[in-house]
Amino acid sequence: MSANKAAFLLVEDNPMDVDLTKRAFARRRLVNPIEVARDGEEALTWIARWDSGEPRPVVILLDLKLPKVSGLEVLQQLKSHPTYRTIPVVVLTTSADDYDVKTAYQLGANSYIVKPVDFEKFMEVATQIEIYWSALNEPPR
Amino acid sequence: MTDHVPSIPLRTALIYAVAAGLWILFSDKLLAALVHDPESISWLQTIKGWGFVSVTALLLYAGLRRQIGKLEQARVIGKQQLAVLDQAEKVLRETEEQMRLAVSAARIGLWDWDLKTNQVYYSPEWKRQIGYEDREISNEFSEWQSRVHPDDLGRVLSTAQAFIADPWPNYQLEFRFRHKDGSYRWVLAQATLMKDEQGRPARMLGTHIDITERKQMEEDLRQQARLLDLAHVLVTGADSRIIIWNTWAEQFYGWSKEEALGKVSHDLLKTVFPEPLETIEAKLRATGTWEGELRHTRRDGSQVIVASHWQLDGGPNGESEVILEVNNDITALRQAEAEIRQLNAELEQRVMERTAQLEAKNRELETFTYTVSHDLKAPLRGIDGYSRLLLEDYLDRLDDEGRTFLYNVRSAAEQMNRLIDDLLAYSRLERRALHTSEVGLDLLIGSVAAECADKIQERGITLTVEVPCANVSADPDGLALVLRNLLDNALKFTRHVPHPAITIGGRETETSCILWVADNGIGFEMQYHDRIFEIFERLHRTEDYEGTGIGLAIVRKAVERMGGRVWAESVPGQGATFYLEIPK
Repeated sequence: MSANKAAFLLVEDNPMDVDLTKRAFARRRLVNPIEVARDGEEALTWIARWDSGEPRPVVILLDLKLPKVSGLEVLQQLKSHPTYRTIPVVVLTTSADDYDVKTAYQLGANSYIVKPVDFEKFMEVATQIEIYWSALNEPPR
Repeated sequence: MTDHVPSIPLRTALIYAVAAGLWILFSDKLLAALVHDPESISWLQTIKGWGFVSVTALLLYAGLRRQIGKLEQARVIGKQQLAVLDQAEKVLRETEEQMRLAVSAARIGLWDWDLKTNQVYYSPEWKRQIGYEDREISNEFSEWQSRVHPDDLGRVLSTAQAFIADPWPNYQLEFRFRHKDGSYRWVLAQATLMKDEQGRPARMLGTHIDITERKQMEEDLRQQARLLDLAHVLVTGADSRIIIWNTWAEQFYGWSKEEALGKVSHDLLKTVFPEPLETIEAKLRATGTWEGELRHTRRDGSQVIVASHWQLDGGPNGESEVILEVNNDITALRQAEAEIRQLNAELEQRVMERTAQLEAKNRELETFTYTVSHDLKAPLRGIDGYSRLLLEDYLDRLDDEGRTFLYNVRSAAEQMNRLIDDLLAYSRLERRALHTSEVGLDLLIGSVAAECADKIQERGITLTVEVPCANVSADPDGLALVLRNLLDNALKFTRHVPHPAITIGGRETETSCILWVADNGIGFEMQYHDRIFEIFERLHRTEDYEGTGIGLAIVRKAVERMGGRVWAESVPGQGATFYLEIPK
């Protein structure tokens, strides 16, 4: 099991959250680079980029509360794409709402993690995410 | 004969006297002329005398025999006639007796008015009819006149007078007659007039019959007829042709008697039957009755709905069969029902709309809560995150005061986080649907206790569980939440107690199950009993006992949603017991 060095795609609109997430991963010495999409629309533009040959991310960390195109929308688009639906998507959001969880899984999310407010805990989560998806998980071929 | 009776003996005696006298005269003279011998004259005279006596005796004998024979005959005839008379009298008496009995049985009072003397014979029955004994009424005309009802007297007297002046057959009068007890009886008087030899009215005689009962029956029948006329009924023959069409029918349906009689009722009224006419007739024949709702059309075209009850009435051999229809107008009723159904439908519609509105409102609220909590949490993450980074990277660059500031900032953020979480949890209670099922209490309590097993062991708490009720019908998640909260509280508030002990107990009643969580912790004052169940109400300082004060509010909300109630008992310093009652 070799570490997959491809990027993590973080879809998050809140700049503080972006910064904190990056720092969380950095603190725990995340190896993989983090790409950021600031809203749903921007997230979907990556599809074109992958089409044109750019490497696919190891995992997509998807927040649900996004402006323009919502997280669930993005999820649906990604998971219905014939090629890129295999990319693992981890919903990383504050909402623990029944509806969101249910819908996310129905749309094909691979995992659902509720973002803790506590930064300490968040750093733990970041570590676990990285270890799992980058090191442990066998990526789709 | 009367004249002749004295004359026959007289004539006979005269003739005899004359004849004998002449004989005596001439016989003596004859003898004197014929015979001169005095001796011969003497015995010839004696013989003559004897001869005279003999003749006389013979005559007497013959005459008397004849007369006595006649007498005897007459006597025999008389005896025969007497016998006949006796028989006739007997028959007469019998007839009289029969008539008396008949009159008595028929309660016919007799009266006989002598128009000349104005005296009236009243029979005992006549007197009895009005309540008097025979001796109580005299034979005065006034006895009758005074008792006729004042309203009838004029008519009665003028009729009687007209009759006396110019009689007609079948004289009959009905009038009211006063009884001894003061009440009036109805009397039928019949009479006949007898004239004297000069053709003048001499006697008026007749009968009195008490017809009070008959009059009453007549009145009853009249009343019944009146009532029948008003009743909501109509009568048809077995062929459905109308036989009786009363005033009510005229008014209700609009057809006059002349227009309705003889017509087929369902043609006239354009009747709409609930089932085929054959079925109705079959039921009528089978049971004698039929009931159902009919729709009729009035003369003016308007329609009515009636609840109709049919009754078959017929002669023993099926002759003169009639059907009595009793019709109750229920048009208004059905109308009202239709309106009510309409209103109900509208109401249901409105209820559905309102429910949809409420559900929409609810969803709005959910979205609001969700949005708020999400939006509130975002900056909180920022505060916590960056303060944390400060702590990690810049702590050494801060003096004591600066560090305190930083810790305070973090603490406040944590507090805010807890508040938001609790608020979310509380609001989620309302949104979540209740799933009521049979909950095995032992299992539930066991699992909740297991969650806190670490803390229990760590603090050396003695946990006793004694719950006799096996199952309750409740929302398992809700109940678990309640117990968890209560257990958490018990754990929290026994922290500073040397030998902490928590008991979870229960008791069953007819209608419910009562559970309690008791601890020997710090307790509280009963005056705060109601407050502690309110949102964010706390009795302690945060540094003594943490918590947002949402726990008991959640407990109360959850229990109330299950149809139960919570309450608590406590003595400060000795512990507290929190009860919850859940209906079975």
